[in-house]
Amino acid sequence: MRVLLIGAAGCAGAAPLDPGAPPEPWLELAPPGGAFGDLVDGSSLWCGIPPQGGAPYSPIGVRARGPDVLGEGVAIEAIGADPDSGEPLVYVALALAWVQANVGDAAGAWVGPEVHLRYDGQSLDDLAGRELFLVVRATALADPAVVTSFEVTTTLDPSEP
Amino acid sequence: MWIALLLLSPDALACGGFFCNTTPVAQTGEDVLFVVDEARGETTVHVKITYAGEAPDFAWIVPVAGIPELRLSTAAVFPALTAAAGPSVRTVVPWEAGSCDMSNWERPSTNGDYLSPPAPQVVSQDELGPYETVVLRAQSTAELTDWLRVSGYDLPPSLDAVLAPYVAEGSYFVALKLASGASVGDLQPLAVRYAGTGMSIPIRLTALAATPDLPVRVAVLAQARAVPDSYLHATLDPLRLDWWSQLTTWTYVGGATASFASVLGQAIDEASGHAFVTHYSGRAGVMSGRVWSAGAPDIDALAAAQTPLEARDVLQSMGVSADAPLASIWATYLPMPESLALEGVTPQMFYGCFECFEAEVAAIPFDAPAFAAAVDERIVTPRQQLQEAFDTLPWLTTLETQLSPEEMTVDPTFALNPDLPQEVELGPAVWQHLCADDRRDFSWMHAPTRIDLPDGRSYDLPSEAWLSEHDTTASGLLETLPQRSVSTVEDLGADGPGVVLIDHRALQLEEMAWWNDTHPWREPQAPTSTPSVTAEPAPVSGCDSGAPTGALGLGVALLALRRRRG
Repeated sequence: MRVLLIGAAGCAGAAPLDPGAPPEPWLELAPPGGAFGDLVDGSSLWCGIPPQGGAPYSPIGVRARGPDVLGEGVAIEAIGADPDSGEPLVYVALALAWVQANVGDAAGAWVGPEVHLRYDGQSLDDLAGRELFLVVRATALADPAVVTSFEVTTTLDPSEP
Repeated sequence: MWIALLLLSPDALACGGFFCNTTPVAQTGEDVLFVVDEARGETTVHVKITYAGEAPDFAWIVPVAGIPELRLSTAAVFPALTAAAGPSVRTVVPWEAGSCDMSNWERPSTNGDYLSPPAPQVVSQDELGPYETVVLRAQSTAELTDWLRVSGYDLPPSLDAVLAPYVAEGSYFVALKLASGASVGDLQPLAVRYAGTGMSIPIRLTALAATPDLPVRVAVLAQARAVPDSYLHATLDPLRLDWWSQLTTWTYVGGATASFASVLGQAIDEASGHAFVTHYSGRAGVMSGRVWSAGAPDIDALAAAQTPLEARDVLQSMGVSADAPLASIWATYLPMPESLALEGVTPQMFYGCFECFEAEVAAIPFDAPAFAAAVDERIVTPRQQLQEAFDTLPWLTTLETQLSPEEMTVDPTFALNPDLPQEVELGPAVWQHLCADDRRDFSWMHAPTRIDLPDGRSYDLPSEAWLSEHDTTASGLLETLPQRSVSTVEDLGADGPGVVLIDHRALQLEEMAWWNDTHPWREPQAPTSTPSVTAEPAPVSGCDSGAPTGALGLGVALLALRRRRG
């Protein structure tokens, strides 16, 4: 499996990454303790301290539908910022292997492990109630033309999901 | 948080921990035990520390949640966990099955072979057994590493980049080095207790020096079954396991077609490369008496020993005579005379046979109470505390994955899930000799056979005689079926049943039906009849392009997606 760290790129509050994208590929996110489809504009996103301590994080589920090339590895980039101040809050870039689900709601979707959004330098008190404009983008490692993204404006909530 | 970063100097020739600034080190795997006490809202993690360099080069650092309490643990727990709740592949061969005529027992011939810039916050410094320990928190990586270097920790220059994400996240760090006079042989597992019941392994730290496909074995002792939270969960396809090589008296049934570790690795790859397999979830009673035996002599008996020989006998009756820290404790309290070393006597010879050096041993002052106190601190108390945990908390889960450095991008987290079926254990397979049918009885050697897998599938197979005559093996025949290593892949969490993402079970049943329909070894036949065995199964009825062909295609596709392991 190719797993690469991709360089920092883009900026918080970016415009939609691919406004003319066809119906597929498309990307979905699931909030902590929630289901795919639950993370919509105006919803809340749990954040908390990870078991190993350190800065707050939000573990999110990520899945996509699209061509088979997504099964050859994807680069995941997540950029989040306070939409009012523009202050960057999250930047994550990593590569993952996805597998294609064959049953249930997820049948046909490309799935993998959670992605951890880490709010480095922030405290839970600072984050509580704050809005987050989040853009997550998945790019097929074998074909950078295959790219899909998801954006949402959500409110960070440290209370139990 | 608990897989550690082991640091050593550039001139270290070998290292056995988690980090080395020269080349990746040979590792046999990482072993971690979480003991989750929900009633007290705290978790203790026991981490095995392995290292093979020079003592001054040893340093170990790990990010932790909050301010931890440190104590010594025992290495004895890890092999005990493997023995009691590790992976088990067992095959049962019922002799009483059927009515085989044993009178013409024949064994056919076979070819089978079988410092001081801005200072970090120093939360605590202590001595613990063979270690000097410090708990730190820093605002920058340089602050942290400069302090450690000035304090005698031999850190490689490449360390800063590895620690940076954890420093940025505001983690506390536990750092260890060997105390003055301690040797590498003194290393023993560490127990770290922290507030909260969250469980995580800081695998991102390990990436710098891990070897490919590093096994990561995790045990969780708690109130309920533990599941991977941030990673997926996979179940192995029992058909892929080696049920055969243990049947040493039936060499022609086949040997190890693929080791358990390789099947596990392939399964992890088929499940995105970020998944765990559960080996065991069940009563923690399987660990009863395995770490510390009730009724063993107490430490007072050891302190009362009049001679080293008496002390040795007490240790043997306590069941701790083979504990790793014992050698260094003996060396401290009964130092071997230099004169013996000059004569070529090794420590192993001296400490292994006091009777052989009776006069020399008698001449060495022996402080039994001090010796007993050291044994208590480093061996007995850690064992007793851990056994008490096994005897108190009801549920044990063991899980395993394999990760290569490039895959160490997401820290595995774990959760307790009381909603799932709690018991998980791979049962045995049964290899049946079908000694009779409605028309005739077979001899044992000529009876068609069948393997009943623990998931309920059964595959018909030829007789032992047939296998021998055709110079093939049962495992070899079954290898013509699609080679998938997972039955299911699930996304599990702290509650609910989770989501099944990949489910091959229906396909497995279809392939089994095809196999049994097209390989009719159970039909009455002459002992030497030879049903056709094809390398590529024929199509299954009802499938456009032939289900097995399609299945084989899927298997090939899955394997193609997962190219890391061969």
